[in-house]
Amino acid sequence: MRRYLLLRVFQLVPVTLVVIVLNFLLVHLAPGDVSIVLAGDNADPAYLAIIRERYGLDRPFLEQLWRYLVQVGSGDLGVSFRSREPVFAEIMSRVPATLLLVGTSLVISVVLGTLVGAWIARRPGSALDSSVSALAVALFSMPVFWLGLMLVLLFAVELQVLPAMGMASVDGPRDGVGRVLDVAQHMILPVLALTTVSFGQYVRLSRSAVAEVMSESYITTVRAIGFPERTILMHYALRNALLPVVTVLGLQLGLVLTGAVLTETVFSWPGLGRLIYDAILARDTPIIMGAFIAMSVTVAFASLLTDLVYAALDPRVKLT
Amino acid sequence: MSALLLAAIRSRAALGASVAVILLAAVLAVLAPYLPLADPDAMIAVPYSPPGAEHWLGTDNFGRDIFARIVWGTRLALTVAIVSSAIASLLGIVMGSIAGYFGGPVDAVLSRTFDVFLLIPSFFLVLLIVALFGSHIGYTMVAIALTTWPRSARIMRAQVLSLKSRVYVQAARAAGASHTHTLVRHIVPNGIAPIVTDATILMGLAILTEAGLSFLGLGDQNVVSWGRMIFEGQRQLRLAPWMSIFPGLSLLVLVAAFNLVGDGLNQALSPQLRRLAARATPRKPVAAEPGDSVTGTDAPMLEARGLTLAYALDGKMLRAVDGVSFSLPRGGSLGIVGESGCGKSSLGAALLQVMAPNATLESGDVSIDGRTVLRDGRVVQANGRDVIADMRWTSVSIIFQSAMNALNPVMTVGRQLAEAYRLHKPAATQAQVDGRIAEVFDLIGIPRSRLPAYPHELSGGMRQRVMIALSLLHSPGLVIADEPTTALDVLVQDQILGEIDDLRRRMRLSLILISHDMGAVAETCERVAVMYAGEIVEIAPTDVIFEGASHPYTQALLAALPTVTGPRRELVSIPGETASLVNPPAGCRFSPRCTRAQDVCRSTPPPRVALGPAHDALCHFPGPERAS
Amino acid sequence: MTALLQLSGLTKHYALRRGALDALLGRPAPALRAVDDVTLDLGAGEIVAIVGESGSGKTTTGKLVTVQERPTAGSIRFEGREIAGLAGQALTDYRRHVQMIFQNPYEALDPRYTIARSVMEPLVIHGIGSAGEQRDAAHAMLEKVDLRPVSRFADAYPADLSGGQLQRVAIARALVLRPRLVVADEPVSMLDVSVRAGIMNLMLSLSGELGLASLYITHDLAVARAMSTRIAVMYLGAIVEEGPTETLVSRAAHPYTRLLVGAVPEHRPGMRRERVRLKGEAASLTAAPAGCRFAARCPRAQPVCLDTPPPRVAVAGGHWSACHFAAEVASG
Repeated sequence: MRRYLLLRVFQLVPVTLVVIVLNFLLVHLAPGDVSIVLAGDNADPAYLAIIRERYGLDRPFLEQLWRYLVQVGSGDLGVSFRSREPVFAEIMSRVPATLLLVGTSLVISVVLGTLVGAWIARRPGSALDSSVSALAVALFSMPVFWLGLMLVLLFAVELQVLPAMGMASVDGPRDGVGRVLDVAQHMILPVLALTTVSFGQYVRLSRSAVAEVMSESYITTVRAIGFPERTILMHYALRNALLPVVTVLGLQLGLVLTGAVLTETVFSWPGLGRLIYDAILARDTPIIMGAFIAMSVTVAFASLLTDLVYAALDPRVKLT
Repeated sequence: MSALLLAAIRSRAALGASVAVILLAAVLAVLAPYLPLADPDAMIAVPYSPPGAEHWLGTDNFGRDIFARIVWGTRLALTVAIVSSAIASLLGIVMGSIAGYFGGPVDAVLSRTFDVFLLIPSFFLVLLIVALFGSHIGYTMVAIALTTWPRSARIMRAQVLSLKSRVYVQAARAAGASHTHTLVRHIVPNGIAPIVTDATILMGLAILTEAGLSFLGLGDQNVVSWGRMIFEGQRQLRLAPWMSIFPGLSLLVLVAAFNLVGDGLNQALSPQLRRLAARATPRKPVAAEPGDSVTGTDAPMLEARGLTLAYALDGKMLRAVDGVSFSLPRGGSLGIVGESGCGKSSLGAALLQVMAPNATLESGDVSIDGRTVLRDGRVVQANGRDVIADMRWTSVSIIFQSAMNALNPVMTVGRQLAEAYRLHKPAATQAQVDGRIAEVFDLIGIPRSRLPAYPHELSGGMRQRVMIALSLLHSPGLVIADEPTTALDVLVQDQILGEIDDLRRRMRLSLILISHDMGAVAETCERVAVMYAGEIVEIAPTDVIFEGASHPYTQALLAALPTVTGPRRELVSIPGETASLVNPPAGCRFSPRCTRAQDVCRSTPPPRVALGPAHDALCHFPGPERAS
Repeated sequence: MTALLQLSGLTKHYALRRGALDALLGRPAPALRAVDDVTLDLGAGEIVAIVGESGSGKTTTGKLVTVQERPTAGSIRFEGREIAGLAGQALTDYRRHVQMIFQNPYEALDPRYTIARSVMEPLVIHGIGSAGEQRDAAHAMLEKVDLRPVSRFADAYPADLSGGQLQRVAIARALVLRPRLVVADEPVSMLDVSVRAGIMNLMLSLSGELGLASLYITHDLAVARAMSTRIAVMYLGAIVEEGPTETLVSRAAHPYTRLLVGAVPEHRPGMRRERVRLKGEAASLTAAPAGCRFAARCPRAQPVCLDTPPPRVAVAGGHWSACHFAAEVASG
């Protein structure tokens, strides 16, 4: 087990390397001077000089790459030229807000989606199955940012029952239960938007996984033994169907993070997405590069976690 | 491919609508410049006009016509969809084929590359590329393709790996074909269907990615993009909501159309998915009647009368079991033999009422251990519960072929047995459960040390023994064994058949052995029923079947069977093909292959003729084999 | 007379994967000894059956003969010429003379090819004849395998044919090059009894008519008996007994063969036979056995069997057994 874990952690290395090298290559391939790309169009000569020194831009190409690798490897993602703050610190300060949004939505959509998918998989091809499946496709075909806007239009503009902007009211309570309730209220619409879209994915995924498991011979065996349908579905089929759900969960975290960035933009949620959006507007390249690295490492790490969960669920995976 | 699509469309309305949507979008995209539309970029109308007769979908903050802009927007959406998914698929096909076909170190390097690239969150890479290189639609499309190709490559690699082991590919190689010939002629053409399916999903994804970029302000400003329209509409949400509503709806409809087409193709490509969707309407249950329960030992262990089971398949009904009748005395053993597709396994499942969801019992009566469980094809209920539900595993159990995954792969065998025991003995203590499981394991000769093993950790023979142990857990009076030794090696098969035979005698079990193997049945059963095309064509004591069969099919089967004992003789083959169950031949189903057939055989269903004690045959001219 | 095909000392070991740690420490990768020192001759026009259970190495032997796999050691001579190291044009020429028929008829043909095109393909690959001649040859071959009327089958697709018909097409394709040797790997095991006999009879009559030699690989002793003049029994990678078919079936000189013959379930009127009681676990395929590889499960094993590899003991003309007690076993 420990060996398996070690091996898997080791597999994070190539992804991280590729991402860093990609970053480096793209910056060098991009039109314009590298120092200006990294320091901004309006940088003063002194700052440009600092940047050149920092990245060794007058050194040979490979040395620059090496320097960059070492820098990023030690957690130094450069400096935002908008705030002059280290990119790493900027990103870390935004992680909690994004985590709150993504985490909440992921838990709700995975749990609900899997259950609904399993429920309609009892009778594949039935009217219930066809209509829920089609609805699921419609849900995840929705541009999440548009769905966000529509929710704002309905609940904030027309009905005026929910806040549409930010994470908390400007004049709201600063701490205690009041604060929690305030944040919770602000979360409703962004979480709803993000959840709706990924919910569709999990419904479909779990439906096809459960339907397939239900046609396996060992399900016929437990039926013949006399287990009631409910037990078969919830106890036997769902557990085995979780395997593909877990796999896809890891692979699709990138899509969920994409959704989060777009959702945060709509709702001015002060997370990573908003940071990226502001960076785009200000053409703050170091932030965009840093965000790319951060997101990639997060996805790679999540896929590691799902691999471990998979290994725990499926005894056929050899832990060597 | 197109034939496949047509077939898929016929089966699903949503798919037809989706194809129509995509075609309409394509027509609009091509014809946009020639349609009587307002200039999408002309700022001539009154800004912020709501939808109306003049401007169907209203105007935006610059006074541009939204309807015209949406029509022009289809151009960009479709271009992005087609170009980026085409590049990604092509790259994926080439790289995936190379990795899968050549294997070894080439594959090791390439598939690691796919894995690494698959983990890179594509949107953020595209974002970076566009942020660095500028908002040109060309960059966007290339960037999308570069982040999605590993998906196609992985699919293609898996396809090639599976196709590589196909016999026709091996045969081409063995015939002397070059790598290029094999890849280009056989592997790639047969492997790309799932890539095409996935490409439709990629198209939807590409459209959404471009829209997302445009919404973040990174879109190409020289083209009309739905995402950019929403970006512009966002600031006017209160004043002019139509600016965001309609482009978003267009995105939703087009992307959903692509996804539904992908779904439909997937379903059309996979017969298994289609089979999953097939389903028969369940028949209403009936209540038990006073005579339905006979106590005492005079009733036979099993009695089936006119049992008929049909599968709903692609709109047709396939009668796999057709009017089957037989009875099994207590402690008796009956072999049911027949070739693949004759309905013998369906018969086994029908007796326990654990058929596939697309199967229905059309008629027939079944009683087990003196209790009627099926009357006229309807489930018999007592006190609101299916009678069979209370008899499963306690009165009758079934042994499935273990190679077919009859045991749950993610549960230890010990736990599977424990749960099966607890189900019918909820009050049992842990010690009682453990004790009973140890008992049945000892009975079959499985070491108790194998209890914590998962099925995949056991050999085929051991798995089959676990299945037998499971079936004996509640000491049922009747065990149905469905091909219990198929796929096992001869020596192991012989041992297991011996064990089943042994247990039957010791525990006075009644046994039904379903098998394609005449020999296996001959040594284990007292009586044999021969099935052909859903019917029992002959049933008789074992010795009579092997030495004095009366049905031409039974005789032909035996004449076609090679043996190791007895004199070596020439095998006689049976002409023709097995009868179709969808359109069974008129008259006798075996008549097209029967050397003895007369006109009456081809026109009139044969009678069931009694030929001796417990011996009858379904034939117009039963009797000993005649020289032809 | 030199044999058409001579296998001597033929060996195929597959390197198993070893852990990264073992590789670093320089530990040798364990090998799966799929085929271990197989020696067998096949005369022109002769049909020899290789019989064995799964894991016996019978399929690998067939793959070595058809050069789908390369041997680790030993030699394969075809008409006196060594083919183990053959490559390029020489290999292509060899493949013209040695064809293969596979087990699974349902995957035997490219689903996108018409029947005639599949049968023509070997001619196309080898560039034999004009397109018209290739077509005629394919039609003639379909006629020979009794797919009549040929016009009905030639333009059909594999999906339209039954398993037995597909296997006939596969035979036609294998024979269209007029090979001298056919390796048939379980060609009827996936077919139902009622069509099986037809395919077996067809193969027998074609062999006679075309003077074809066959290596017939099967797990089924009864089928081997019907198809062959000689049988070689394989166990864990090695041939343990070889002899004329009838002799081997009725007077086996190796305990393993005896068990195999006894385990075939059949209607044996008036006699209840002794069921097989196998003891122990099968020996490992990865370790070279010290003595007889069947010793661990053999009902007659003696101390000598555990430490001394058995010699090939000639029992009668052309009949030998790799058993220390071959003579005793043969006499019952």
